[in-house]
Amino acid sequence: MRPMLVKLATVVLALIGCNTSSAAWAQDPRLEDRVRAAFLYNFARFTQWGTPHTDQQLGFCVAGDGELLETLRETIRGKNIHGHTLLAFDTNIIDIESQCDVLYVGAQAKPDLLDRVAKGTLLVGEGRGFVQNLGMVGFVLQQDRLRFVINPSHVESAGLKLSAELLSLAEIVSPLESSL
Amino acid sequence: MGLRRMTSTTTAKSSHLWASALLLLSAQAEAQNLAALPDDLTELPLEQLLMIEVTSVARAAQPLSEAPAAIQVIPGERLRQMGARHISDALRLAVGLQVARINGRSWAISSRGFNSSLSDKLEVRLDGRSLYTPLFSGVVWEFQDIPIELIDHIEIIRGPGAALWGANAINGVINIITRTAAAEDGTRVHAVIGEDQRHELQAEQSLALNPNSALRLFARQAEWRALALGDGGQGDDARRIHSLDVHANSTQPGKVSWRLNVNATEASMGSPQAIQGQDEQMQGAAINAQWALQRDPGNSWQVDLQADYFDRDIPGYYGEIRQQFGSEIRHQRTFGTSHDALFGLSYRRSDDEIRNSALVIFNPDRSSLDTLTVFAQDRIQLMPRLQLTLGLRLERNDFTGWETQPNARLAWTLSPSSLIWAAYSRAARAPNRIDRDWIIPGAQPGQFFIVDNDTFDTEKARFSELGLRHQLSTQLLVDVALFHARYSDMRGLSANENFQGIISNEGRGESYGLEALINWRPLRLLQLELGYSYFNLSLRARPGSLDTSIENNNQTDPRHQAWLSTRWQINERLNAELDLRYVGPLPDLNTPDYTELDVFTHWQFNRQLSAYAGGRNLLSDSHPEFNDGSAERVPRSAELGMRWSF
Repeated sequence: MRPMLVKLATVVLALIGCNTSSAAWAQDPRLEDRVRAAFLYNFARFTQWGTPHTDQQLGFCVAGDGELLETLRETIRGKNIHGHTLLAFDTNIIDIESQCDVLYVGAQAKPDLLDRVAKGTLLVGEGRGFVQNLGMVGFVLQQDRLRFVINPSHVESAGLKLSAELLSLAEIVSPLESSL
Repeated sequence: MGLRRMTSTTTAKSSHLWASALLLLSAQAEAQNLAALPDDLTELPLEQLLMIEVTSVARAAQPLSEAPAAIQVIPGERLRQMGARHISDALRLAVGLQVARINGRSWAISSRGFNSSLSDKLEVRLDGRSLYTPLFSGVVWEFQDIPIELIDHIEIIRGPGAALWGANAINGVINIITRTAAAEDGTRVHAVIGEDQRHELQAEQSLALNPNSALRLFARQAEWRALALGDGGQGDDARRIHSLDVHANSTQPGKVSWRLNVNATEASMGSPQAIQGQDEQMQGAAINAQWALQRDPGNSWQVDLQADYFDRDIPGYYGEIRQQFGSEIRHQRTFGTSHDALFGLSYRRSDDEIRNSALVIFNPDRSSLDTLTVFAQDRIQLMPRLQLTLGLRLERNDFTGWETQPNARLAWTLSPSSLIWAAYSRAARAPNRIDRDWIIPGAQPGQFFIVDNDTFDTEKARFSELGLRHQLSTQLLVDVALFHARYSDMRGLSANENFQGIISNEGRGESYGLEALINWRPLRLLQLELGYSYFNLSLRARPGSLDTSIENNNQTDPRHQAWLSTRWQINERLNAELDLRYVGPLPDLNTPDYTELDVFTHWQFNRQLSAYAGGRNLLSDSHPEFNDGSAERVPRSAELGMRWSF
């Protein structure tokens, strides 16, 4: 009897869930970071490096966001990209210049961090400003969805190539809207 | 026993299948359904990752603009949480703006001073369409009542945004961006009842046209009560508004995207100027189309076409029919690795037909005003952390010809979390119909208080600004701006050779101020926002001028304003918001200072249904915001609302 009730409840819940648009309610509080981590994985997948820093490994580094680092570790565990083993590092512990192929700059990152970044590092951060000033890819929250902004000139000058698929889904940094 | 067991297993199995089928269906209907998300999100294609709704209660990211300007962005969700019912409620959360409710139907809103019911130095745009009227270069707020439910976000740029936004953006720009239509079918109903606002009913229907395009219909009916007067009487300022919005949009990443907006609004309200017992009537319609094309990274185009119609009638006093058309084309292009340029060309035409009365006369009673604009801006990366933006706008109006409005901005990124910026700009406010064509007849025939004056010139301002934005930690953000402005040729009164009063350029002076915004999240579910602004304007008539109007009307802005806003997510279904604000006295209007508190609580019963209850201006029975207290007073009021989506 009890399993039936549970299943009936599932049906009712599914019915209720069928037709909604309110997102603010009862959400996995880590969902935003899980989506961020999945994006970071995909950014690396769609990037062509001249030469990755180490042949066997591809290093994701996270500065100033411990929660995201944990989520990213879970996300990339056991995966590889084009045969490279994926690793996630805390920038406080490792040598940024030699270990980071992708660097995520969180809001709490130390100011002098970017002085230690090697040229061919994919710089990911938060917001349009980050991308306009220094960064290559920036997350923006638009209509409750996580989108990303790309500054192609910063990507190019670092000697990286992003796939057309990634570019076609990004907002290319532009002064069209709301910038002075 | 065995048979029974089997039957129940079969039933359980089929219901399980049914449940799975429903889950699949709902996953198709909307990607954000949690049940449909895999544990490993890397399994999803990028397109689907982009569709996941992530607004988390604990980490609602504050989009921080790093533009080298005094800019603040208020998300629409924030406005709905604070119980905002009119755009003015929202603008009270913007530092450096002056917002006052004059009476039950009208507001005085300005940026960096000069506040009045006819504020004329602030540009307001709705989805790129300018809302100001060339009649007085301001906004008819009682008519331009944009439903808070439709707002995606509001950008407030203090100081001259003239190089990008034109001759009305002398002291600031407000960009109101509405939501695009939801990509899934759905209906929403929103109902409000209250003491100050009598009631409001909104209904919204979204239709997905195809995976990339959607259509939305939105209808609204709202009514506000008249305010009580300080001398015991009742104001004649009750207001009713009906509106209908149709919106369609299509977004295909990497391709042409477009949005189309059609709006029709009708409002009627009490008016002290109208013949006793008759209401003022306003009707209008607007259409707005935008196309954007991203040819390749660093090369994009945007085209805007707009038209609107407005009909206003104050029985026995004044009537106006206005038809406007606007178009704009913008092209953005990067050159090499260090230049990001923007070019634009725009044209606006405004035709009006005024119905004069014995009390108000415009000469001529019909006019056609054309404004043609060319603008360009280049953002130059001087060094990896140093960016210079140079902008220039050339604008031609029918009254004074070409106006040149240049600006220069420097941004220095100290670290990924801090930015220092500085700017210098020159801006001009073009004359309007009141400046040039307005006549106030005297009591005797042939006698005039004010006659028209076709020599009125542009008002001019030169702004110097300095700002710092610093994210001290993920929990603490500080944004400070300092400014100094010099004004010349400001509007005043003088006399012509026949000793008749005329509106002329009499004033000069300066203003300076400080605007600070601190955003602090001490706990995961508690957010505090503190805003403070200091403002000082000294304006006087030029030497030799006969003007006394400037002397008596240059202190209509509070010197000190501060607010503290507290948002607390009590649990996943319940949140509360407290907004405490202090507004300093307005000496020239004899308006005393006031401190007020608004409190709102929201309950999310389930995915479909939510309700809220709140009180406004809880600290006193009533207070005046733009008079000495003997006239209209803003009352304490309670409100109850409900949102239902299905």
